[in-house]
Amino acid sequence: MNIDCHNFGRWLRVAAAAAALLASSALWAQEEDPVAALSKPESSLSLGIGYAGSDAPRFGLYNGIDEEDAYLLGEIDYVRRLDESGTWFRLDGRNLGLDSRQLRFEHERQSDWGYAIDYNQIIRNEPYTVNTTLTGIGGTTQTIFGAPLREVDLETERDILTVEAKKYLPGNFDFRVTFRNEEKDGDRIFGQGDFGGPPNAFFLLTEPLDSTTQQIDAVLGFTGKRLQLSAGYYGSFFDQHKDRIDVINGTANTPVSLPPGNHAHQGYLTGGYSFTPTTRGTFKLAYSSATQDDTFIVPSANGRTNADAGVDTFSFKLGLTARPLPKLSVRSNLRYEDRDDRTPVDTYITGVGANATYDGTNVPHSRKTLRGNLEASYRLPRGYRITGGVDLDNQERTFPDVRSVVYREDTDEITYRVELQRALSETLNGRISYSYSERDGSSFLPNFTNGGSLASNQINPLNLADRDRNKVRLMLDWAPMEALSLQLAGYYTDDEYDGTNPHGPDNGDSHHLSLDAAYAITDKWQATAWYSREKTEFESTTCQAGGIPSTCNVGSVRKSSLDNTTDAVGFGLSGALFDDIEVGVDVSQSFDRGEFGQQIESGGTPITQLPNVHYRHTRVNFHATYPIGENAGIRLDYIYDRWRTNDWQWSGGGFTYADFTTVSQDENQILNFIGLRGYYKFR
Amino acid sequence: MTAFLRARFEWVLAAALILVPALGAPVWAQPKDVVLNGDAACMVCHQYLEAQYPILAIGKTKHGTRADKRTPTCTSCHGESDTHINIPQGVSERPKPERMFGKGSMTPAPERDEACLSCHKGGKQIHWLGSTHAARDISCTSCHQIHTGRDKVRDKRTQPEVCLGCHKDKRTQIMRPSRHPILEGKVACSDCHNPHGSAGPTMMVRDSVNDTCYQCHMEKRGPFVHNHQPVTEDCGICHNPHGTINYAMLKLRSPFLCQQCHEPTGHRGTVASFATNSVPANTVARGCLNCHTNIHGSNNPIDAGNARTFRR
Repeated sequence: MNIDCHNFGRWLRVAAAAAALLASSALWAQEEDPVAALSKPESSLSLGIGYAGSDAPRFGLYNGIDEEDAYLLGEIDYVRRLDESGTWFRLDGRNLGLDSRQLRFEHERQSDWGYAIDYNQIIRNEPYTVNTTLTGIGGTTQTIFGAPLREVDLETERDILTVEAKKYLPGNFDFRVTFRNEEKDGDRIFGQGDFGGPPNAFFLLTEPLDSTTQQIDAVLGFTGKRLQLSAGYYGSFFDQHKDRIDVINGTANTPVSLPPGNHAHQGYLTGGYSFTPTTRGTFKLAYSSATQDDTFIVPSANGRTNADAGVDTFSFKLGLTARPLPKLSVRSNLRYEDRDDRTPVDTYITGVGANATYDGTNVPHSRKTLRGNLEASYRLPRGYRITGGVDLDNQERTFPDVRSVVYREDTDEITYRVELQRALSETLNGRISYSYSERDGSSFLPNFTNGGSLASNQINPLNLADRDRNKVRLMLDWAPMEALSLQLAGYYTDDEYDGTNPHGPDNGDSHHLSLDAAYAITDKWQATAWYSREKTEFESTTCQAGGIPSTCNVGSVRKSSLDNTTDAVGFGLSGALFDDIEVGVDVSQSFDRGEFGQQIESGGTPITQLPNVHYRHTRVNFHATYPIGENAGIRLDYIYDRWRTNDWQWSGGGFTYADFTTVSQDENQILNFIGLRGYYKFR
Repeated sequence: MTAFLRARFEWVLAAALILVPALGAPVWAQPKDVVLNGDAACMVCHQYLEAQYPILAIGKTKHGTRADKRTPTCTSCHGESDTHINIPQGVSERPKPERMFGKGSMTPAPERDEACLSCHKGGKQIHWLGSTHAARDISCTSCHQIHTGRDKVRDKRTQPEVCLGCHKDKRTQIMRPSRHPILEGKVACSDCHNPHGSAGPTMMVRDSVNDTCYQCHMEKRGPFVHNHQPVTEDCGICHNPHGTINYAMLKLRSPFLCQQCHEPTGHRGTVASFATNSVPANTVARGCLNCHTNIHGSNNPIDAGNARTFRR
């Protein structure tokens, strides 16, 4: 909830009074049994006010504090247990004064029954400023040049209501049901364009979000000593309330469709059985049927009023773990999924020419996936353990006869891995692992035109290309002394892509390194520090102007080198001043860099390089808690948050949409937020 | 008087045995349960050792609900621990309980987990044995705090602290500008992953990556008249849900991402640039999506060639 700045003084006085009231209530607190004080459920209530000193779209992306304003800070965590019956009441309210509030009520008689009602609000404030001529935002008719350029705020909001209930039944059975209803509203950046039309014919639209998503999960469970089962039904339903945008003064591509509603029902049975204390099998069987039959937004040339689309999916998972020898354990899993897109194939686009890379029919995608692994682990002396395993991944896809992207019916990936681990040491634990994966599959299916001629076949698609992957992973946990612990974690991955076509992804590698330290300076003061670095590098090749069937003109082969690097560091200190004032400070900074190299091979025209992109984010969180009496006190929070960037995504080269709409962001956002609240704890 | 008592010692003792319980609870009385059912033997010492070994907060949890007769006592988890309670002769330092769970515990992970699995083996824990966590000796107490009223990993706001303790690469990723609201406590790791094991890949809560994403992004499910093949296969081909520096958590920016699959004929192979006239506008704003706006699929059945490329 935003508070008008003009009333800030009044709100401050109200908050101060509330804080003082909560804090002074400690004076009324009664002495109680110290054991009860430590072992009985505790409730808390806090109320106060915060003030953001400036607009901060990045900081307020999801928390509701995105504008310079005062905000009400309110939280409640009421917990009560009736010891005689084991009945719990809990009311948990968070961010009550913000647009990101959540309120949950639970009532339960432990081991008998229970229910809960949860309201959760999730917002997303668009961090970019949109300056546009578009009118009709939020509606299904949107007019470009509908108004002079002016700033509009875009945001989306999800209001989620969840109801849960459970009942324990005789014979080790239990029944649980969860129903979740989500209303999604708001507007987000959308658009339409036509490169075949006048130059720069790109227009910003906004996608009007107005939908209801419902999910119900009902599970009957059985928990026996050896056998556990869960039989359930999962229903998921998406209903779209705005299914189109009619665009006035835009391109000819109007109306623009919005996602249609769809429904799915799934029944499943999952369970586990312990054959012996060290041998257990698990399984899951599931069958789901999904449909999409929303009425088309315009008439179809084939006379259909809807796609009558549907997907049936059958899946199972089998697992077995065993310890055939005291020092040897084995584990295996097998997963299978058969996704059958049973949508009728029909001709939607007529008069398709012979050179087209489509035939006018819709293309359902069915797929069968088989994944499995087998792993053995053996305990060695002195706390060491060695593990070896093999993973398999096979996917079988259907494919259209006429296509514009190279297909592969099957991909097969096999991974071999080995790991050495040392555990059960009081000072040094860790693991190092190496894996090698090899992905290949059936022959690449060349593209043919509608007339049967060979079309362009130059790319090995990212998800289908042959790939060899080497990966090393390391983790060390070292406690050189009682007060100090150190942790080192990292990995290095190297990918090499290949295929029968000349272009596409070439290679990639990524590495990550983290070093963490925690030090107990005294009994009351602790310090933490960490550093992380992550870098991914990816190289691919394409053609400036591709030829047919698989040639690229000399001087047109282009290699892209795409790098992303993150360096992040953090420091924390917490403790107590004067014995009773708890203080803590956390400082973190992350620095992300994106590089977009493009190079023409074989002496073509040099390419103007895109600028690197960077984001630098600094956050300081400070808090101090001053107790007044045993159960109450005052808490002060201070946040410094700074985002700096030069991201050109929406404005590179001075880009504007055809109606001069701009999308921009403040490239240096600094926020100072201060919050003061009183709290009261009670039992 | 002393001589009188000494002479009648047995009578005094008998009277004391009868009267003392009736009059209240003197310090030498039979110890009573304090926090958990059956914890009396342990509480003889531990209720006075809270500063050194803070354990009483277990009473605030569901384990501490004594009206529920299924709840454990100390020895249910820590073992009978006879030598811990009664120090063997000749041993100077009190031996530790049979099963220890904290940092530096020498109790093997499977043995630690047995304590929990004796009750928590159904429902969401069915697939625990066989999960990657269990296979890597991550035990229940690696993540869960039992002797506290607030178990960090069960609270959306603090859960990432626990998960990121090991998954450190994700710590940097969730801080990136394009991300889910994890830092704000609105989305937690467990919304997508079941750390206790599942039938799905990478411990997804649903049976596939896509089914997990559809929980919140169900409008992407379709099927559509015009489908985009990788969308139907795995959202993770294009998106990194833990965070990126690209709009919509894309792994690569347009047109680079699109050019990893699409043939370079026509405009598709065009160099990434800031040129804003006609074809080359594949880089700024929504990039290729400036035109191909419904990239997850289009249900527009209009009789036009560009409908199949998600442009309307």
